[in-house]
Amino acid sequence: MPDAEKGAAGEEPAPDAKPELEQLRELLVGHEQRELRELRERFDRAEVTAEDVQRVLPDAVLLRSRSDDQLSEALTPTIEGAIEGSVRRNPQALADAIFPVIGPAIRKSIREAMSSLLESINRTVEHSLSPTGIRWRLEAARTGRPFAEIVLKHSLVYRIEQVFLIHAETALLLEHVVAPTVATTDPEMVSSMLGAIQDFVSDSFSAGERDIQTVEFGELTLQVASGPHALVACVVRGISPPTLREEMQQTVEDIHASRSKDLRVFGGDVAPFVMTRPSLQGLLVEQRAEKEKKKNRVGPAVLMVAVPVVVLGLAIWAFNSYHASRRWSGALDALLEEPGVVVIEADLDDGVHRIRGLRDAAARDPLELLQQHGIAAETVDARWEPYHALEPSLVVRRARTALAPPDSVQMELRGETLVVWGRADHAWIERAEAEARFVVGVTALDLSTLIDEDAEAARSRAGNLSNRSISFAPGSARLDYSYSRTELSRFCDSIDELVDTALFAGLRVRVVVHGGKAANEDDPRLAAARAEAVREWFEERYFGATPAHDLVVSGSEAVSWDRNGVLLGIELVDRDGAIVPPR
Amino acid sequence: MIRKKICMLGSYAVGKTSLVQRFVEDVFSDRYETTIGVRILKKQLQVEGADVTLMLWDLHGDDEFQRVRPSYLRGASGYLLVADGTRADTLEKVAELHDFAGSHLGDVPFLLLINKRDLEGEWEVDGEMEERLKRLGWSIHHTSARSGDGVEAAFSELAHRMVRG
Repeated sequence: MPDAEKGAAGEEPAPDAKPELEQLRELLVGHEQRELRELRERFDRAEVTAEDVQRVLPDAVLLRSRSDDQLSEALTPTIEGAIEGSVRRNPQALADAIFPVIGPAIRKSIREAMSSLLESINRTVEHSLSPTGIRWRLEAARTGRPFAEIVLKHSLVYRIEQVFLIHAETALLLEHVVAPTVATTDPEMVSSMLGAIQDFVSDSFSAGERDIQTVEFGELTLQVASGPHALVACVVRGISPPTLREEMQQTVEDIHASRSKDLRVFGGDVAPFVMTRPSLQGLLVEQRAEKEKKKNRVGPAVLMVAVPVVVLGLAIWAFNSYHASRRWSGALDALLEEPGVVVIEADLDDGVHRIRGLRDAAARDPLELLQQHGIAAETVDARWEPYHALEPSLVVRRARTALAPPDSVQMELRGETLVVWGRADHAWIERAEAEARFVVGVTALDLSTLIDEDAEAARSRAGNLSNRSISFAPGSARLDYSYSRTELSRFCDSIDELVDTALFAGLRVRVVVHGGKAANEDDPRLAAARAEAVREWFEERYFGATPAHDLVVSGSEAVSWDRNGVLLGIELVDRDGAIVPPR
Repeated sequence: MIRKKICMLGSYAVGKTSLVQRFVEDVFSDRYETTIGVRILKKQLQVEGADVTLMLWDLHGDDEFQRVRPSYLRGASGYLLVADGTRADTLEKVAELHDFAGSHLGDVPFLLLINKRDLEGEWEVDGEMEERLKRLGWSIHHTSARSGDGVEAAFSELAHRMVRG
């Protein structure tokens, strides 16, 4: 304790009080005193312990790596030395470590090399001997340009031929990569010239910064992506892919991130930028037109299945189409040949058979005809206008329809005359005569060979009744002889039947009474008297109930008949008065 | 590999183009100078054991019709001022161009080439003028584009100064 403090206290503390003070001090500031002692010991100890470093090392490395590359540069020799030492001591350890990546990397490299070689061979073969190749060679000879350039011109969609990495401020070339087989002009000159042009444009148009992004010259395009310290320029042959600018910008950003210090302090040394070659080479891509086509090709297996199916389908379709066409053609031919059918328009459209034309009512149903030729009724769209055909068969058919003849009647059209033959009753004949002229195509009717069945029956009956004789008593003209009366009555019954029959045939019956006398009878009037007596008998007995026009009795004249009686003759008379002879 | 950008500055017809043609092997194209006011040339040489490529920007002669574009100076590691020994006014112009380049490039190496050494008898530029400039720290070379005298040495000195930084 200092003297001043001692003076202030006035006296020394009692010896027995010291332990109590120590105890009190320990209670009040003992903890802080111990911490102070530890801190003093750490300050007094100059070296840093491993324990101290391990606490801060991870964060320190992280922070320094973010700020600059000095840590990497400092560690590089150590790490390289460690790796070299490890490889010398035990190469297997490193080989085992990189084994998972080295195999795929080698395989990928070999695969890409082989693919490139095969593609090159394919292109060479395709373009050397093919007609296209010959044409391109002619073009090369004509224009004086290399054949390879002509091939590229026609087969490339695009190819990025050169990539420049240029320092923005100085326009000096930092790095340059070029696609294989591309001839280049001095890239350093190009780089500087591009910078000069950018400066010129910027100054001339007050653009404020170098911002030329695209320059087109012939088949080439120069694309530029800029960063604060460097720019990437790509020379593209063909049509630039839309993703190129984005990829270039990404490359610029990557290079700025990886070489930021080199770019910031660039003084002309371009050696560090060799490391950017992989990034720049990543932009050297191309796309060929042939590849696009190949992508679109379907696999051989699919083709092997698809082609036969398509061919079979086409064959079936062609077969069906051919037969449908043939059916339709055959049906149309039949329609054209069919009397009473006139085809004006016909069309087969999408499976529908459309027909427009004329049709006689007597003609055959066209739909039935089409069906007979394999045309389904539901596929037919037909419209027929009525007309009268003059073909003989149609006229006869029309006449049959109109006249409805019995089956025993035959018809034929000769010129415009309808010739009818066979057998028919008199009523039908009369109807035919009346209506035939109304049949279109018929101007005359010939019934000369048609047998009138009713007239035939009347003639037959008349024939059976003719030449009946009625006997008189010798020398007498009176019909009092019972036998004679009985004969006459029986004759009259037959006449009734004849009249009925003749009526159907349109004929009238005429009874002719011929009087006669025997040779040994002397009275010359006897024959006439006998005829008169019979006629009167008929008048009295028969004609009272029978219309006169159906039965005519004539006679009463003496005939040279040497019998003592009369002879009854029957005549049939038609409506014109002509006598129809009995059979 | 080191690459450096150099600009050639001087009045019209002082012989800049003839000088660089003496110096370089490659001339990119003559037509660009009249098109955009600059012609670019390349020279490769060894400087202190290092491969150095000089990209020479031959700027259009500064006159009343066409001014030097400041953007062309950007990033140059050094420049050559060229005057015509037979025309004193070109030396005055060089002083203006030096100020102009210095304002854009800062303190970078430069040389003054007084050209047409082969016509030394007709020179208007006298020793007093040169001395005045030398006192300002200028390095001055007498060159002849026609004979090639002093050309290689001038470019070589500038390259060395640039590489040394």
